Amino acid sequence: MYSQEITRRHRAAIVLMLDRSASMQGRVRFGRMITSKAEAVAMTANMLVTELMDRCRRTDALRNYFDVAVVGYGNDRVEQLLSEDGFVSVEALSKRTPKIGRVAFEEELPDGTAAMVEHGRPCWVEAHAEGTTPMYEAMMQVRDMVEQWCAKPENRESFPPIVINITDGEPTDCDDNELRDICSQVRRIATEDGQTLLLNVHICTDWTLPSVVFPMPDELMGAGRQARTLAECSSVMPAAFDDVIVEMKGMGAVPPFYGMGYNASVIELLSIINIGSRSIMNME
Amino acid sequence: MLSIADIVNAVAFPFSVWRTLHGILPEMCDGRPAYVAGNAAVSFRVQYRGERKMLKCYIRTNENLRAIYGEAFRPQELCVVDIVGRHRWVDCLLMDYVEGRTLDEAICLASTEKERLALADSFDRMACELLAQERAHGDLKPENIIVREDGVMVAIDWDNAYVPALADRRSPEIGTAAYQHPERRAEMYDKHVDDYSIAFISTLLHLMVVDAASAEHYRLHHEPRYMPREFINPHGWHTTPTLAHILEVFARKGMAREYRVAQMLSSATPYLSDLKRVMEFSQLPFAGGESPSLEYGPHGWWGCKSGEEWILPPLYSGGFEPSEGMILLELDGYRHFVSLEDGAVVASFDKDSNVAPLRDGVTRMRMADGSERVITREELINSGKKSIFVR
Repeated sequence: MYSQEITRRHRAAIVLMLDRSASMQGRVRFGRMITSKAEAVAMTANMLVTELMDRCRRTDALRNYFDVAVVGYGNDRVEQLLSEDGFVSVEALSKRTPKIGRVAFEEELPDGTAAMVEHGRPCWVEAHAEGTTPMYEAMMQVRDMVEQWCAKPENRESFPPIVINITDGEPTDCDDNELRDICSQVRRIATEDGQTLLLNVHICTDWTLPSVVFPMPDELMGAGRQARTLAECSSVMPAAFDDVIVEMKGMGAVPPFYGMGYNASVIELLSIINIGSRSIMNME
Repeated sequence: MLSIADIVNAVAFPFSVWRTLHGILPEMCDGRPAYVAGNAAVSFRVQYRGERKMLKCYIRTNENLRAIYGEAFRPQELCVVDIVGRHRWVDCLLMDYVEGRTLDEAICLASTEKERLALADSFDRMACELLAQERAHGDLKPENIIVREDGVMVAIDWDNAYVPALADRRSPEIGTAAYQHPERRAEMYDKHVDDYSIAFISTLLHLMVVDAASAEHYRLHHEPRYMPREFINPHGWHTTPTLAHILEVFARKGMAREYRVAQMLSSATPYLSDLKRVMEFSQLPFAGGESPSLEYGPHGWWGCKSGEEWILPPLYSGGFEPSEGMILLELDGYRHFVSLEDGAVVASFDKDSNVAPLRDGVTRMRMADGSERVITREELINSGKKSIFVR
């Protein structure tokens, strides 16, 4: 299980869910910058989409290894941010010419010199923060998308879909039980290689609060209601991920691990996304 | 884990800090360094000290690289700054750039039987060299093989290779599934790890010479028409339908070596102890000799010997004594006249045809109704090796 190699005939699906509610206007540290959570999350989403495309670049051409979707939810609306149809292939994305966002900062290099380092990244999605948090409605849409993807004969043997939900708060359209239920429905959708992996990441502006990333059951014992609910909504990470999670958490970490982050910084968000979306997937 | 974009930025950035490779210049494409990505690294074409080189920057750590590449491996070579300002030192590899196209591309471009045969023969030559070495590649597949302009094949991307200095370790990866035995494990890490993929790719290439559907499938999908698991019967010794089909194709054409290599694909383990010996038969130049005779070789197979030398390898299931410059050999029920002038199949007969060796310039084939058909030597030769006697 969770071992299928990604090939052009066994593609993989990745869904990013972005909270775009008003609270995402809060400020957060993103490396050297202070920016809004919405901006940081949009940059993270853009980095992931670009990375998935970069990983498909082979000597002959860009190979169509991934179907990607970015789902935004906020202000009572759920929107598909890459394509109205939901999933879009990296091949189709490569034919677009997105705006290039540039981030520049002065960096002290290891040899002691200072240099202006500029990072240019395609902007596949824009930052937005407004209104309520319709996470339940968004999960329902993702459930339907993932179900349709897995039902296609060509995806039957594929690595199962990976869904990463990034939020800074609680849903405004359901209670905890309803959220647990819809997340459980998403996680039960499967290919022959395993069930859908649902990772939930709660990001936080207050970096004095302790974060919980890929927690073990013990770590959740003293956690608050919201963190425990998030854990119950998330996949228990399959054994195939154990080594990379232990490497990230350090010695003493013992599986099982929940696929979640609570009070996570943007750096921790990046680590979770890296582990969840890149660490064990082998491409032909 | 660094992103590919971070590394591409660093390679393009003129003030990046390199530990030893100062002055390296990437070749650019549309304003960015030209690069290709793999699972573990990003590769660039670069200019270094006036020469075109291949620079590889690793995203994942691989502790075996020093043992595999020696001085070409540059640990902690390039300082990469990511988008949140973190510094990471990245391991690099600087190698000679091998000009050519990948075997994957070459297969897709080979439109004639002759071109596909040239690829198959060239692969077999490279495979024999690999099998004679104490090292193994670990992830042989068409994308990891460059076909140079002169047709010679060169294996690239040795990151998962076995070298004797790594004895007793585990393989960092177990290769691309489409070209590996399903039972290959990380513990199987020695000079034999390429056995199965060599047999598989050789079979794939020779099959594409004689089976246009296989070539077309590869051209459309960039992957073999059959997967290794289709050759292995987990429930017993019976040949799987897929393998039986391929063996039948080779047997009909009298392709004895290809037949024996394909037979090995049903092995329960990735190690093919007889592969080297059988593959090497393809590399022996045909040299006719005095007084050739049908001889019994190892494994109960038959071939043709002159003195102590095999002039036709002992890979056939049966045969008759040579006569009049030809030998009649049998492969899985198919009989073939093979020329003792050049070792080529002259004419092939249908399965279980009751055909006799040449006598006085003719051969006789007993028909199902008891009658006899007489075929002259000239008719055999004029068949143009097109198996006219196969129904």
